[in-house]
Amino acid sequence: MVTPQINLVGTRFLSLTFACDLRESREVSRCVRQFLAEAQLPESDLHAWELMVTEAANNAADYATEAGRGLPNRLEVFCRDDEVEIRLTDHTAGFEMPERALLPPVDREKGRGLFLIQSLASGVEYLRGRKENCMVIRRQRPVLTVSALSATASTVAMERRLLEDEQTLQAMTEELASCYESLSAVFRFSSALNRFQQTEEFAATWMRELLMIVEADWYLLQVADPEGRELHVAVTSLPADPDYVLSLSPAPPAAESVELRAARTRQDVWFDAASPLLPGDPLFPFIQHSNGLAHPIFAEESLIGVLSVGRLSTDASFKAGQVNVIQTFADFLGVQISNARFRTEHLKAQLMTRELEIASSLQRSLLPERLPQMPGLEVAGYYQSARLVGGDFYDAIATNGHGLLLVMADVMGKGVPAAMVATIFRSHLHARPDLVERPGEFLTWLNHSLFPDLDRMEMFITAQLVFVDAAARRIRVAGAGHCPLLMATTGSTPVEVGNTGFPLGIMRDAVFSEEVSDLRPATRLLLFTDGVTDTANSNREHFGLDRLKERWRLIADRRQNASQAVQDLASVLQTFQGKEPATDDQTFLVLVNE
Amino acid sequence: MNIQSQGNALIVSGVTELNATNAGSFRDQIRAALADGRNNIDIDLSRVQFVDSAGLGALVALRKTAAERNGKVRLINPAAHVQQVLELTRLHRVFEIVPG
Repeated sequence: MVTPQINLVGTRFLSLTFACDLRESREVSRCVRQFLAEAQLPESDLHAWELMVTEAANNAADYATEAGRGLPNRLEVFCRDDEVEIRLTDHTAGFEMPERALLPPVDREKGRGLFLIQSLASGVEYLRGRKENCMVIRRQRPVLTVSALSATASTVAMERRLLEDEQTLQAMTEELASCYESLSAVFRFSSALNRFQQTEEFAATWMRELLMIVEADWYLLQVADPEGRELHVAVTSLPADPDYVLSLSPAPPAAESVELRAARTRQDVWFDAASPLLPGDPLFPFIQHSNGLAHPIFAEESLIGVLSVGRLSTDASFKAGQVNVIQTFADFLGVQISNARFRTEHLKAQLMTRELEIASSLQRSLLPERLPQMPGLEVAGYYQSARLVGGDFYDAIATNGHGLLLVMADVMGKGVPAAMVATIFRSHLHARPDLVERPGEFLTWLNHSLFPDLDRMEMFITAQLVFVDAAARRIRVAGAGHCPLLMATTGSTPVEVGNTGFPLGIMRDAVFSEEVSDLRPATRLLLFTDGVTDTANSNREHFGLDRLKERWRLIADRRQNASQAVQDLASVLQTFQGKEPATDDQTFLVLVNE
Repeated sequence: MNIQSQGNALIVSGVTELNATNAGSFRDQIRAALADGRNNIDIDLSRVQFVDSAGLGALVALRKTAAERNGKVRLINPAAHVQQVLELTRLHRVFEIVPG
C-alpha cells in the first residue's frame, strides 16, 4: 500500500492506493481513521468512517472484474472544516446505487454493507465509468461555534475536544439515568410480584412505568386464556380501548396480525416503516403509523400473552437497552400472570374440597344415628354419597308407642346449599310431633312453611312421608313429587304405593293427600331416592325401576330382615355400578313387618 | 480467541475484531466446537473494537446454527459503538444483548 499525504490549502488531503485484498482494505480503513483522528474528528465520526471505508473497500476487492483485479484501487480523503469526503475508485462491473438500500432478512449473512454506508453518511454517490467507478461518500463534521471557526488551530482543536467531551458526558449521564431508572423499576417490579394484586391493575401500573423508561407512546397487553385458545386484550394505553379477540387455533388466517405472528413464531415481531402494520391487522385501525414490537410472553412452555409496545412514528426504533427492558418487564409480567392463575386454581380447588367436606359432614350429621325399632317392625337405612354430595335425607320418628313416621327426601341441588336446605327440612320435621300421624297434612304444613325460603333460593324438595300404624298394621303414605315406595309380600310382585304431588317449594298453597294400605304379614317396604334407580354402569345403563322391583321381590321371597335387605340391595347396586363413579347419592330406607 | 464450554453453552471471549478477514474462521471454529451436543453460544464482545458487515454475517450464521439446535446466541457486553452497529442493522431485535 502506498500512502502519500498532501496538505492542500484549508483542506487536509490523503491519497492511498491498495490492492484487491481484504487485509489491505482493513489496513486502509485504519489509515483513514488515524488520519482523521489527527484532524481532531470526534470518536463517533472515526468509528463511522472506519466502518464506511472498510465496507466500500471490501466491495471493491470482492467484486473486482477479472481484468480489474490486478489494478490498484485508489482512495482519496478530503478533510474540510465542515465535512469529510472520501472517493474510492474501484475496478468492478459497477452497480446501480439505490436511493435507499434496504436491510436483508435477519437470517441473511450478507448484504448489509451498502445499508451501513448510506446510514452513516450524509450523502453517497456512485459514479460509473467505462474502466473504473467511483464511490463518493460525504459526512458532515460536528458544528463548531463562530468563535471556534475564527480561532487558531489549537483553539479549534480544544473546542472540538470540549464539544466531544461534553457529548460523551451527556450520553453517559443519559445512559446512567436510564440504567438507574430501569434497574430501580425492575427491582420494584420484582418485589411487587410477591404481593397479591389483580393482574390487570398490576399490569397497567407497570406498563405505565415501562412507557416512561423506554420512551414509548403506547402498549397493548393481550393475555391468552388458560386453555390457550384465544388472546384477549387485558390492558392497553390506546385511547380507543380496542377489545378484539385473536384465535390461537392452528388454522390460518390472521397472519396479518403481528401479535399472532409473535405468538406462533415465539419470537419478537417488529413493525416500522419498512414493515408496517398491515390493513388486515386488528391493531391497524388503532395505530397505523408506528414502530415497535410484539413480544410473546411465555411461562415455561405455555403462552401467557403478547405485549406490544410502540412509538407514534415509523422511525426512531427502540435501542438494544430499551428492548432488554421491554423483554424483562414482559417476562416479569408473565410470571405474575402465571402465578395469579396458579393461585386462583389452587384456591378454587381448596374451596371445592372444603365445600365438599362441609356438605358431606352436614349431610351425615342429619342422618339418624339409630333408627327406632318396634315389636315386629324392623327399620334399616342406607346412604352412600356421590362425589358431589347431594341433598338426600332419611329419618324415622317414633310416636308414643303407636307407630313410626318414615321420611325419605331429596333436595334439588348439590353441595353445601343442598345440605343446608336438608338441615332446615329436618328441623321442621321434628318441630311438629302432632302431625306425625297425618303425613298428608304434615306435607301441606311443611310446604307452606318452607315455601318462602325454597322459593327465594330457587330450590325444591321431593319427599315421601309414611306413617306406620303399629297397632292397626296399616300405612298412610303422602308424597311430594317423590317416587312411590315399593311394597313386597313374600310370593307376590312388589307394588308401587304413594301418589306423587308437587314437590315442596313449587306451589305455596298445595294440599297433599294420603293413600292408606294394609300392612300384611311378611311385608317389606322400600323407600328410596331416584339416585338408586339412576345408578349407572359403564355402558351408561340405568339400574331402573324394573331391576329394583325384581330384586325387592327376591329379598321378600328370601324373607331377609331389614339389615340383610339393606346389605343385599347395596351390594347389588355396587356390582351393577362397577367402577363407574356415582353421580347422585344412593339412599333407601327399609321397613320389615314380620 | 478463547472458546470454553459451560453446561450446554459455549463461552467465546478474547475477540478484538470481527471483520471480513477473520469472520469466516471465527464462525467455523465456533461451529466446530458446538458439534458435541451444545446449543447455546455466549459471545463476549467487551474487547471487540470493530465489527463490519462480514462480522455481523458471522454472528447471524451462528444464530442460525444455534437455532437449528433449539439454542440461542447471546452477545455479552458490547462496546457502545458495536452496539450502535447492531442497532443500526436492527440485529439487536434478534440477538439477546446482555449489558456488562
